[in-house]
Amino acid sequence: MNNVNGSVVGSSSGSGDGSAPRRNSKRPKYSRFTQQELPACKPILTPKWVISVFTLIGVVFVPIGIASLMASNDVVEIVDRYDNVCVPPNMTNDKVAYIQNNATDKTCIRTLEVVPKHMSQPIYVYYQLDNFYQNHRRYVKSRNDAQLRKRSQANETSGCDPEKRTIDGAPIVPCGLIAWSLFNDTYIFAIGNKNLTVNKKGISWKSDRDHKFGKDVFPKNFQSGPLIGGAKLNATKPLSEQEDLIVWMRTAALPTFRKLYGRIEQDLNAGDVISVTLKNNYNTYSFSGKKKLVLSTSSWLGGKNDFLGIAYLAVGGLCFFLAVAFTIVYLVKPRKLGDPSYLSWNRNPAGH
Amino acid sequence: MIDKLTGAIFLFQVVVVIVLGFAGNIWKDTEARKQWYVKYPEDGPWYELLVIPLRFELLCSIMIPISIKVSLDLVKGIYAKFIDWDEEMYDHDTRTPSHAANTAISEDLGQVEYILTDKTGTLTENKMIFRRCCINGVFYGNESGDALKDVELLNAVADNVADVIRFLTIMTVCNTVIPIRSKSGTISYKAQSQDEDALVNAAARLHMVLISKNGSSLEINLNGSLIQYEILDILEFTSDRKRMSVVVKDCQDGKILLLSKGADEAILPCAYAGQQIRPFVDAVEQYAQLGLRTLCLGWRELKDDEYNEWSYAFKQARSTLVDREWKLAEVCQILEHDLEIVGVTAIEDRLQDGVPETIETLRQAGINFWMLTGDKQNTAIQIALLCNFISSEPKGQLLFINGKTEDEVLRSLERVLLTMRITSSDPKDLAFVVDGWALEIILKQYRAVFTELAILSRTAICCRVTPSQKAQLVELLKSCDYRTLAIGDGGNDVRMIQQADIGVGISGREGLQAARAADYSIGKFRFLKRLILVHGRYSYNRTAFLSQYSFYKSLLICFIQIFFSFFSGVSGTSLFNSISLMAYNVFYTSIPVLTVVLDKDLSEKTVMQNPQILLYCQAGRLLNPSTFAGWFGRSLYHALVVFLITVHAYADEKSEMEELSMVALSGCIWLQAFVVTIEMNSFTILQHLAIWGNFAAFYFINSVVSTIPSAGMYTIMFRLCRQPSYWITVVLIVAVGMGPVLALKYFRYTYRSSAINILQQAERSHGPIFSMGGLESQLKSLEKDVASLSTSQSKFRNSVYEPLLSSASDPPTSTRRSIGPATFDFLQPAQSRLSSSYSRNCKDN
Repeated sequence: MNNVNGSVVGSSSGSGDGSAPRRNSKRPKYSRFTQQELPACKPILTPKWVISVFTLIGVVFVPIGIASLMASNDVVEIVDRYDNVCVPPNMTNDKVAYIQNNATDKTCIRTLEVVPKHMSQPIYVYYQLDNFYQNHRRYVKSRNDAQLRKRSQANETSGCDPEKRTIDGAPIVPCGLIAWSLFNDTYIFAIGNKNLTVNKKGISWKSDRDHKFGKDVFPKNFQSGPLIGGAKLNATKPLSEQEDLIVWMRTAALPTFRKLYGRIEQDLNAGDVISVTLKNNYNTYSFSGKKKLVLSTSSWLGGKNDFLGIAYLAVGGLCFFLAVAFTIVYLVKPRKLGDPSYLSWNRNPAGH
Repeated sequence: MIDKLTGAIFLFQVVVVIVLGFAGNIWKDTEARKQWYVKYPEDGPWYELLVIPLRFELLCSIMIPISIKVSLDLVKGIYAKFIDWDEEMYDHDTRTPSHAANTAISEDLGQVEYILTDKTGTLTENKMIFRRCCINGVFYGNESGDALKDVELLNAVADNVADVIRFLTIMTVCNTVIPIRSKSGTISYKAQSQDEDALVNAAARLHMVLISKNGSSLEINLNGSLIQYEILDILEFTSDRKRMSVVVKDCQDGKILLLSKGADEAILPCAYAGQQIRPFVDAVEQYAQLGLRTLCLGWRELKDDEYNEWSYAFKQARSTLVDREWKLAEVCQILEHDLEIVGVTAIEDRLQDGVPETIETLRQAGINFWMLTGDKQNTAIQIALLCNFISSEPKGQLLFINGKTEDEVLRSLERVLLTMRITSSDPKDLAFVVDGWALEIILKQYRAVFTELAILSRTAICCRVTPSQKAQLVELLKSCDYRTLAIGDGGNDVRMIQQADIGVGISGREGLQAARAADYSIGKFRFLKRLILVHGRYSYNRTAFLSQYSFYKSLLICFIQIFFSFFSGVSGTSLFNSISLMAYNVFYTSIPVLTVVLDKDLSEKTVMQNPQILLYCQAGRLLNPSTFAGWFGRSLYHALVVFLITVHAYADEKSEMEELSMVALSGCIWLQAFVVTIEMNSFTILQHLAIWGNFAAFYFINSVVSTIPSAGMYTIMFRLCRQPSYWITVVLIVAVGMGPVLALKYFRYTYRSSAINILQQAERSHGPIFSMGGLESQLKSLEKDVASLSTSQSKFRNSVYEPLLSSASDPPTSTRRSIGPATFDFLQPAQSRLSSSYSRNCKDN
């Protein structure tokens, strides 16, 4: 039966070309593409190939895992949760009332325990919010980038609901829920009596300062409504210099996030005791969110995060394990590849 | 199947939307109201409740990929083009390429379960050659197999033997052939019927040459002398009358003659009382056994007044407006009686090249064949044997369904069904034979029984069936949920072709009617093998992958959105921006997979050698709920991997919305590139270009977008590419996502290999498969066992001219007459006779 097929091929390539090219116009033109005969490599999953792939993954992943883990280990991080302790003892039953009362002094002094290891500069100061949904759809959409970029677009407040305009209809700059709820806790650091300067310049992305927030756009009618959300802005500074706002407006994708507050540009020695004078202004009590202050150094991989290192080690290890397992199975129970006797119709011919 | 899956996914989508909508509203009421920064109004209108479900509906709307429609249409168009372009399906004799008129059903070709085929012109060449004749009981051409070379016949013509001359005259005159004289003086004939063409040509070879036909006058050159006839009337052929006649006036002596030719059962009953018709019946039978088409020729001299009287009636009938056909037939009947039967012609219609091999291969591929023909039973059975349609003894057995009355037919049918049931566990190849008359009764009265029989039987021969019965049979099989393919060449097959799931027309000698009506037109029957096994199978495989992959990638992105919604207060926030989503669906994930049109899991050769592999397509093993569940699970797993790794690697100070979404998107793009790679079986340069080029395009496009300040993702791509953690994260996603897939695939491939896997391994690890001695012999023994004949084929062919059925001695009417209790008896001897005759041919096995 194959001969027939073969002969067809032979005759087709032999006869048509020279004999009557003109009348053969209907004849399909030969090309490797039209005949589906493009040269192709057809890899198959041989044991050798698969085992070596897994071994290779293992070989690559374990060192990367170790390196990541070491990088993460080198990062020194101090985390201090203060929202629960920075409430006067008599107000612990009604924290919301406390935080919403503008009259009370919200100053709170925290002593960060001993610095565990030498921290070399720059040391990043973050505030961390838990259970805060910056990614809530109502929230994340509530901004207007055009307004932030250009002075002339100040009236452009579409999408900023429900913080669009003041009661008398004047546009709010910057409008929207994100800006309105700007974080407003402040921190002052000191070791002993000596103040630690926190550099708040350059904490936002340069691209945001240069292109997303206008140099000639000034806050207008901001936080002038009856309900004050978060921080107020200095109306004399252009938005491009309001770095806290710029940082805040890079919305976080997850309900737990850290935002850069500033940088401490000096080393901290192991054993140093840092005292923090903070203003506990921001209301996280009504939705039982947490506020944390984080001091952290940084590595080539970023902050302290063991996840990547552990994952790499685990994956690398598993791949080694799989490679070994496959090898053993292959040696113990070798199976000839492509043995036609495995074909079901060869195995029980005609059901005898 | 794809429609069903789409429906299932739609239901899933609705469930997801409802569940998340509820969850979102509950979360809103319990949590979001406490979150002052979201500023939910205290109470809104009632329809506020619908906002969150509608947002989820928007998020999940990509679950059903819209791109699948476009992609499928595109690749289907290419499948069809591949058929048009295929050189191996180019018919060199008629210079016609194959053509796919319908681009939508290429993959159905790979799932064909029943092929219903016409005989004449489809299995055979429809190139009629006059082979033998019997004139007044004398057989010509029996020794040499060619009456034209039979010296006795030539001598008889030379000697002007009256009977022979009469016989040749009828051959020459009784037809509608038009002679055309070319400038060089040669005469060619233009005939509507191939049989007439063959007869006139044969007569010409026997020195009775039809020279010209001008209006009613007709000239014949017999051995140099010119004879003229005047044609008075033509009693045309209809499929009901099964005969035609002409009334001519011999210009020499003025006699009026009626010359008739037609099927035996239409002519022989018209013999004048007292003529011995037995020799002719025998001759017809004998020829039918050889698979030859027979025509009986007869004549009668008409009295002048008889003719005049009749002629008047005929003219009247011709001019009636109501029931003209019926009236004409009636009038013709008046004249066509008391004929003197002169002889029987036997015309050979040779099998096309490669027909037995094609049928053999396709039967091995698990396709059931039904032959539907207008020919007589014995001729049909003979052709069926010749082309491997029915297997020979001891594997094969023919069961006859016949009878004149309803009772007879029912009894016969039930008996056949019983036999079929008993032997259905046997590997025996049973075939039933039914004729048009019985079929008419069956289709009207005993549909259910017949349906059961149709399901049990792999092979059927239906003879003497009308075009509408052909279509009804197709419909019957379709109603049992079988995928049917009808193949034919003539106008009488058009209805069947249109009725079937897939219609294939052979652009043959009977014009293009069938080819025009069909979904596919091919030049030769043997191309059907390639059409189904190569084009149909590849198309099915490719579509199966493409469609499931399309769902996979849509589900992947959708699952990530759903997971993200749990991290965003079930508020329906989209993790990805709309540009990325659109580009993901219509570009990044659609372009690479389109190259699947070039994917070949097995080489064409391997498929042709192992046609059984088609079972995977027929049974739908590559696209069914369980494979789909696999893809569904894979997208769920990959979504989990992408999302969890991204969320953990980009936590805390890195959890910026745009960055995180781009990391997740990159993870999806990387994964999908590797998924396509691992699922693709063969890589041509185009595949490499598409897969890895797409990869590069992703980074290029996103880099370009990242330079636009007003875009949301301004500078994001550059920032990410500078971060080692980005690359480490993406590589981790690929490793975790693909590792288990690879391991599982390897395990299945090696230890739970499907037949496709084994053949892949065989063809790739051992070089070309046909060089494998082991497999070859295996297959040979297999062929011997299952379908027999592969070695005996040549023998079988040589024995073409041997009578194969000893029931030959019984005229066909007698088999139909045997009824009631006798039928069961008939079955037994018929079988034993079959077996004895078969075993003669298969002794060598």
